[in-house]
Amino acid sequence: MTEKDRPIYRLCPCFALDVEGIQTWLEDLAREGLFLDADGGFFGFFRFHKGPEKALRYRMIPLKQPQGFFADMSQEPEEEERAYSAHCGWEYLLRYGSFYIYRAEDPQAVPLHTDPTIHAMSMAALKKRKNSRLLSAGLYLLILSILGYTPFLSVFRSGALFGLFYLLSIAGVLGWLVLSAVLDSIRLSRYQKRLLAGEGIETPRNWRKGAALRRCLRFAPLLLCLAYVISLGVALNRSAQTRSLDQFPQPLPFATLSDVFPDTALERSGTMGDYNTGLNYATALSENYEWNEAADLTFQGQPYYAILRLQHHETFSDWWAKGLLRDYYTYEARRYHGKRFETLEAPQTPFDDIRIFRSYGILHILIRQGSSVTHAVVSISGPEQSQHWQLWLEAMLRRVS
Amino acid sequence: MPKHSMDILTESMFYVLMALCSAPMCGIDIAAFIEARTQGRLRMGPATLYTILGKFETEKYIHQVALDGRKRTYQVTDRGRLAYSQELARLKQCLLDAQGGDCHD
Repeated sequence: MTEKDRPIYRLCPCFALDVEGIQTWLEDLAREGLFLDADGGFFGFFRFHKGPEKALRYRMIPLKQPQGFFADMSQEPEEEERAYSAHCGWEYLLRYGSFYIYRAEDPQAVPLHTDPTIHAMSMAALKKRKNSRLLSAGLYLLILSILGYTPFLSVFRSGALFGLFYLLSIAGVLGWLVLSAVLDSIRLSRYQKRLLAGEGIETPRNWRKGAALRRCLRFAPLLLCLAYVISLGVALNRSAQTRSLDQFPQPLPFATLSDVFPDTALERSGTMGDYNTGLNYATALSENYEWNEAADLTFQGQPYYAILRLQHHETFSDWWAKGLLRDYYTYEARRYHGKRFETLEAPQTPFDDIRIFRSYGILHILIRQGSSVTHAVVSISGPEQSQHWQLWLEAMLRRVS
Repeated sequence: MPKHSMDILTESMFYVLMALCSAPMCGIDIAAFIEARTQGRLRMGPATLYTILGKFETEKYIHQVALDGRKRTYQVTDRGRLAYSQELARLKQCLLDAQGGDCHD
């Protein structure tokens, strides 16, 4: 392969809907001897081949068919249209995003669009399709809000060292969707107006201004997705650090069944899933524990069965802890709204915040003390199926005091 | 500014309807008809032509009657014929207004 045949790749310095910018950029490259290859584009990169410098015209025509999720992905122009375009001196090159790109060598070739009103009409149809994307992003945000998006809890549930990236990546992707849709709409509207005013097609654009920033911004969605994948990867790694309870050094910053029943022998129940295991991991935001305990015991001469599933977080600030407690509560309330969720009256305690509720019949206790949060699911069954979850709360009070 | 994009036909749209009112045609033949009828004054760009055909099909001014290989043949509908005749009447009135005369059928 000679140097002349070797493909040359260039990252487009313009946003995908900047028609005038992209056209001017391609024409400038042609004047430098770089010519766009047919089928030579992916993720903003275009493939060129070297040749003698020439003055060419490049034009971008919006796709006509609606682009749905199940639409024909090939979506090439109709054969007849391509044939007539070739007859008029225009070579079809490739599809780029929402556009077809054509090229003409003959400066006398009939323009692809000879009626600016019709050209503006085709842009209006494209704008309508793009605006529907904005609507989709808005609906998604609305649904997330209704379903009770819990940003603080999401950070900890991901359990990632880059837990904040998890939160930011989701917010970032959604924000990017909305912002890019708005900017696209504005860009298309302005181009439409220029077309109707008789400008736009033959007016070169200074694509160099801001090109470096635009090229960087192209990678923003990719970086956000990468941050999300990294955070998930760390989360998976975290779950592999689970160990048995007796491997945890004492004392722990929360009450366990041993604290509830200090002078009682606990007969650990057989391993059910992750029972009688714990997890301790640190993130940039907190020190975290997960604790799952189940045991048979004899208390005051009576057989008891106790289960304790607990998450404890030593966060970096009180306000973060408040948000986290609120998220735990909201998560369960939204999940089991109505008759399956019941808030119980919490006793007076020295804790900064305490909430007790029953979610689908299961008792939850949420405690915040300063910047630490404990979420416990407690079941202490005694004789005749009596419940004694207060014993755990008393043990927590002893621990805190 | 018309509320609906089809309230007033542009020159290109008018000539496309003119071509199809004379006979069913494919896109390339429409362009050739227009160039011949206007003696080269109006040369239809391919993007303009096929955008108009797409729009007319959506608005049911025309419909496809045949597909022969890569060529789609279109025929004007009654709705399209009506739009054409209305535009023709409007243009005639404009001409008469310019000449300062009254409209006589």
